[in-house]
Amino acid sequence: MVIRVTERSLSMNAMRGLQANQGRLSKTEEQLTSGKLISKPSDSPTGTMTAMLLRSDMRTQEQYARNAADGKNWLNTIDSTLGATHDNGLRVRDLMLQGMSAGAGGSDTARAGIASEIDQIRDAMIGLANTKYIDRPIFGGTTEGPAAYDTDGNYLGDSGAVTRTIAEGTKLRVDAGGEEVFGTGDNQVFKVLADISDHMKNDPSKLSDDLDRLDTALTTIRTAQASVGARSNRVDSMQQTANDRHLELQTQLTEIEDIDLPKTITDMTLQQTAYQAALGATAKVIQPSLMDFLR
Amino acid sequence: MSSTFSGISTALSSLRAQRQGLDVSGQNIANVNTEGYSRQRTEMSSVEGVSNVPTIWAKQDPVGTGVNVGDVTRIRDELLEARVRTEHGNNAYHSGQSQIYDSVQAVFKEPSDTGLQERLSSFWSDWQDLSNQPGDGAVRTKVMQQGGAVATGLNQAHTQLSTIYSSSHAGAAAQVKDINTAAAEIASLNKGIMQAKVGGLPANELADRRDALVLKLADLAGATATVRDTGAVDVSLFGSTLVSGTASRALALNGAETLSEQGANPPSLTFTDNGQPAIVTSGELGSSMDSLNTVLPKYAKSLDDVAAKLAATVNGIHQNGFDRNGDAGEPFYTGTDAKSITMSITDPDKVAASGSANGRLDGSNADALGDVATSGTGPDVTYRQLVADLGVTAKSATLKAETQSTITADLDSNHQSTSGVSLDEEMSNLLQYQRAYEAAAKLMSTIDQTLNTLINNTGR
Repeated sequence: MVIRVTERSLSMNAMRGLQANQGRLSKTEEQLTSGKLISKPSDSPTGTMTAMLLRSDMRTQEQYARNAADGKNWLNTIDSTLGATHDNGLRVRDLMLQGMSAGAGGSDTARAGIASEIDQIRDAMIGLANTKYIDRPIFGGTTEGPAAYDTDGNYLGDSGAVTRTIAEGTKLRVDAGGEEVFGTGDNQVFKVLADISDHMKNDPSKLSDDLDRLDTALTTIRTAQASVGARSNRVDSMQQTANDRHLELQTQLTEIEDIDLPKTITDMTLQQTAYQAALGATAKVIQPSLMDFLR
Repeated sequence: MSSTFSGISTALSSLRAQRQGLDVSGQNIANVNTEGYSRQRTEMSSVEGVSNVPTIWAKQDPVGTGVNVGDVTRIRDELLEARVRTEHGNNAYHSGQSQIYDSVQAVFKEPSDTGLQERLSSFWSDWQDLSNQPGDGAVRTKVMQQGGAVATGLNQAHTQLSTIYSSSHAGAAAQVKDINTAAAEIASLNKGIMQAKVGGLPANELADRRDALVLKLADLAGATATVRDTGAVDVSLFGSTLVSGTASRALALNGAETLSEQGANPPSLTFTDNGQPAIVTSGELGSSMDSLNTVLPKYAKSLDDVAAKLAATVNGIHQNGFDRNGDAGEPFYTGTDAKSITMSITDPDKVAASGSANGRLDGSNADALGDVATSGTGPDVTYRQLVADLGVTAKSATLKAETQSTITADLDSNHQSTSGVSLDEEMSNLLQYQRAYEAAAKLMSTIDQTLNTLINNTGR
């Protein structure tokens, strides 16, 4: 059977076609103006899911990189402080050897001078032990106080550790506990220095024992410094990883979410052409009627 | 042998018939753009000279005596119209569903830089910042503000869902009103049509108007119709009678007008005359009822789950920690659903960042909260499941609506091709009737001349 075509069905069909054309155009235009392929979950349920995961991952990696940067600052501050402390320790050792030697350097007067210089160095080392990073003493654990050691060299901090999360499940300690670095009890470096100064003035015979104690204390500091260095390297590499990962995620997100500009523009041009063709065809088909030919 | 003058009456019947044909074409042309108009045709039949009941002494004419004008009939296809109604109901349902899913998707605005996912991510990130600087009051305040932003995000999403619910309810109420008006009008048109039919009068225009209303009922509620011999149409809603002859029934919408009361008092439809439940699963009203009873409560519930998960997770960890003063952590949030969740602490010092009562600058508890970001069971996962489900369901609703609209448009086009007016056809009909009229007139003048010859000139 031949389908009977009426004016109304012609124009209804034409309108339907034009509407569909315009719908496609408007979708493409929306994509072009927003730059996004996915503007609501139903555009691509899987894409939406991936995009949300990627975004959340990106935020996490960003945060890891920030944590790592903060951790690195802690470790670097500790590293340079320990370096300076160690240098001071070596200076004390030199002075001790000088004081223990026979001759002019080992005279009572000279030893009194040396003792006073060692006292000075001790004060400086206590000052170094109280070094702060963003208002927190770096050797004080999680203490709230302004200093890790008082002026007499007594520990004021606690045994809490400062850690930074630098990757999923990886928490790295970024401080160095004062008691681990500077020792405790009789082996505490400030106590050793106080003894050295005292013995220098009053009991030089004990100085050789003191020298051993000082060497032990300096070894502890060096060990701590090595550990800090190793951790700093680790933080460095993790920070790099987090940054790389962030970039990678960003690329993936772009691939999923963002439009392919040349493709979208080409699509739009094609759709525009199709729309114009449809308009032209509609105008041509709907216009003529039998009335044009009846006289 | 026929009467001398019978030719004149034959010509006269033709003149009348062609005039009527022209009139009907005129009516068709006038209504070419009228919604619901079915084209009409004059049924003509020839008048026979011989009766089909042979009788003795009966006069037998070898030639017929003209044309008989029968009814003016509407050209339509009952079966096609029934299908059109069904598909119109489906189309209205699916496009309604597609719209409601679009509105729900607008509430969640994912994926974006401003959605709830982003707020949650920032929240966890802020906890890590706090873990880095547990002593900094500014960072504490930031955590609290972001925590508040997450809660507000949930509150807003709930409010928006409630707004959609209320407007859907208002929409359903309006649809019920429309249905009741249309049903009453169909009943009164039925009455007119039956009376006209009894009196042998044409009722085509009334029938067109009524059929348009039946189609409207199909759009609104997926109604089906049966034509009776009296000319009336019975309309039923999924087995229950809505219009029977000249009597119509009315629907009423009951149930909660707000989302929060929906659980206790779900919206339902009943017939006003006997209070029996009315089932409507198609058409605009069917879609509205589904939105009110299924779609919106479902996503409101999922959103509540996210809020409950957030409150439970954050409070659980927060209460394990210790605040700036060394006191055990208090609950961070109060409320366990999207509507009521709010920050319960107001003092930044009460944020429990520390993992031990003594280490006041310890950040391990804040760190534990920051780790929720990557947890496989945190509120983020619950929320992503919600959006995933919404995306898939909405996409399928959109696809169904698109497919259905094509089917419906095809049927509409078929219906048009049967019942629609074609101007070209009417023009050629006009020509036919015009020529036939001219020919009948010519016939009359020819007979007149013949008689003139006979009467005036014979025997002079």
